[in-house]
Amino acid sequence: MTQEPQRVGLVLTRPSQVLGEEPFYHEFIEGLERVLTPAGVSLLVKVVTDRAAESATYESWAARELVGGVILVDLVPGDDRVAQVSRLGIPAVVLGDPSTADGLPTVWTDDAGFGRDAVRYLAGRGHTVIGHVTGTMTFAHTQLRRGGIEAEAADRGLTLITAEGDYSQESGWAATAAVLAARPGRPTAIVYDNDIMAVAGLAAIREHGVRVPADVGVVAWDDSAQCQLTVPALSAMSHDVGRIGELSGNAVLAAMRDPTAHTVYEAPKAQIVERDSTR
Amino acid sequence: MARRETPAAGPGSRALIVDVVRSAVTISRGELAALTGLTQPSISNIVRDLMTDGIVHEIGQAGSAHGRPRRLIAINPASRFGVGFHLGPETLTCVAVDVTGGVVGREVVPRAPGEIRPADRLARRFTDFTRCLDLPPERVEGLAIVAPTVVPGRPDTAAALTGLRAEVAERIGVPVLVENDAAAAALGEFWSRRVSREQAFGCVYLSTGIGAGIVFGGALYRGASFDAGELSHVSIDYAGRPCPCGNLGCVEQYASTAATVTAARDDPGLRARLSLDGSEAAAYDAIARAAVNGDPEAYAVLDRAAEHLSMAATSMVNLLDLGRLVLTGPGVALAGSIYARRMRAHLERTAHARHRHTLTVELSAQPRDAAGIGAAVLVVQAAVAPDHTPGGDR
Repeated sequence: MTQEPQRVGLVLTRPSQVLGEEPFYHEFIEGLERVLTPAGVSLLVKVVTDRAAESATYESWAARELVGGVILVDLVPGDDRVAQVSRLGIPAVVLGDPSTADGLPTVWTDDAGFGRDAVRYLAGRGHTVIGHVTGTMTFAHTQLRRGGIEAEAADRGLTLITAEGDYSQESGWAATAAVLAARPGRPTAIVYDNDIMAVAGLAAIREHGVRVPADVGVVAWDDSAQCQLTVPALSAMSHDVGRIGELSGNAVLAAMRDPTAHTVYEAPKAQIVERDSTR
Repeated sequence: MARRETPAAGPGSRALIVDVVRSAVTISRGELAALTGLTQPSISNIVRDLMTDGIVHEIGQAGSAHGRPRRLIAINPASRFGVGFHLGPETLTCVAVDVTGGVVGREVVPRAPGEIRPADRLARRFTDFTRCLDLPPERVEGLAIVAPTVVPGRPDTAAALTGLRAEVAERIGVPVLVENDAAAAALGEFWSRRVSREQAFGCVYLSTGIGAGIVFGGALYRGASFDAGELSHVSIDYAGRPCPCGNLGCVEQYASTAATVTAARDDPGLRARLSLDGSEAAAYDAIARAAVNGDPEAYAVLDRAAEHLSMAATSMVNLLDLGRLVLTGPGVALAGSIYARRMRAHLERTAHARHRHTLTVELSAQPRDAAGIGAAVLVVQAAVAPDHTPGGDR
């Protein structure tokens, strides 16, 4: 093979240290590679610290024809990156809700539906006041998930107490303190939007002299080795993230072959894996 | 701990200062003097040089007991970058890190099995990768190429890489280092976790083989050639399974990801339940996922591997009197909790120094990329704390 392999680009906007901490992206990337490597396509991940740098990266990649396709993640409603990559003529796939993709192919996880599932699970265990520590609220998937959690809590007449984090350890700690301070009723279970905030939250709950699971149950959104290793081990809303990566790999290869196809690929269902933090 | 003698400001002082600032996150000059034993004037001179080079910067002030605010210094992450290439069986993983070891980019490129890329291809890959990331060329300090060790008698990766080193360096115009993947991973974990150089630090790298790396006094132990930390071939049974290396009972015959996949494929229940026919890596991940999601047989297979690995870990810990151990490598990406829990319990019962000091067992935050990150960190450390890279010319 004398020709250089084709390349797919993925830009992550966050401090480089946070990429290092996020098992979700490691497993997503691993799944992408399982599809792209055998197809002879390389996967380039670039970490930048803000949206302007992300947009500049697409311009620069397009001008120098460095990538044959891109995957867009963490979309906000009306995201301008969708129009940008279309204008630049880069085949693209959106990881997120079809409503954010403006016709681009989408790998869709039903965040609202899984949010409802999480509340249903906790209600089934007798919880009536539930805390939710969210990720960054500007992201569409965060809004959808919170929407699902709110709707299910309202349908069942449960009280919901929310606080916003940004997926980092520090924010998980701070948001937990806010949720625990809620009066009159402190929640008896807290759902965290990622594993990192949940692990930090577990420590924060202890710091307040509150017991897990006797006083407060904890559910992490993504499962990971780190949240299985805590004492007690954390129950988690577990996706097959590697599978989501594989779907995205197939989607981007299809988009590179035929940029006009606007397929929606549905990710496998997430499910609660019950461990000691809610037992 | 033995009391340190007050060192004179010498060639090692700069590396010492960088290391202490790195592990402290932020620190004042006064605290640096107290921690290193160097004199205030020496500290001031070295910090001034480091600021001129852009490696550290002042990031604010903190109050002090005497009312005079202390200026705090910290590593300036984007002042230098290192690039690491990890040669895997099917892929070349390229990683770029900043001075703190934070990943700024990575690329996984398919490669033909067994192929050692000739110098031209590696050099072009390096240029391409740094261009895709828009890294300023003058801040890219070099390239480190890491690869797994090979069974004695098989075509020698180490020799091939060593032969390529000078050729690649000549083409890309920056230094090139060569190391085994597991040893490099240990340095990566040491650096990006901000472990202090006072700690006796070790790392176990679980993959199709089992490697280890050791960092003492801030420096990676690099051995006589390429094979330092070959934990794979620590025997746990003198009459055990034969190993291609020539010995019996080598731990990799029981606990490597390859051994685990074989064990699972031999289990009729698991064979029927999980899809184990694909690549070895995909089969291993399927077992790991099932185990953490509550499949008792899958859990048992991994826990048995973890028990065997723990036996070898006790030998390693005792031989070196380690204080901190990190588990990393693709084998612990999904099921690391099983290995970490088993190893903690085992070491609490068996580590010889257990009554004298604690031994921390932790899981890597980025187990799949650890070798590539470690390679890139090898470059960064050689650039900003050069006295820590003995054998850096090989």
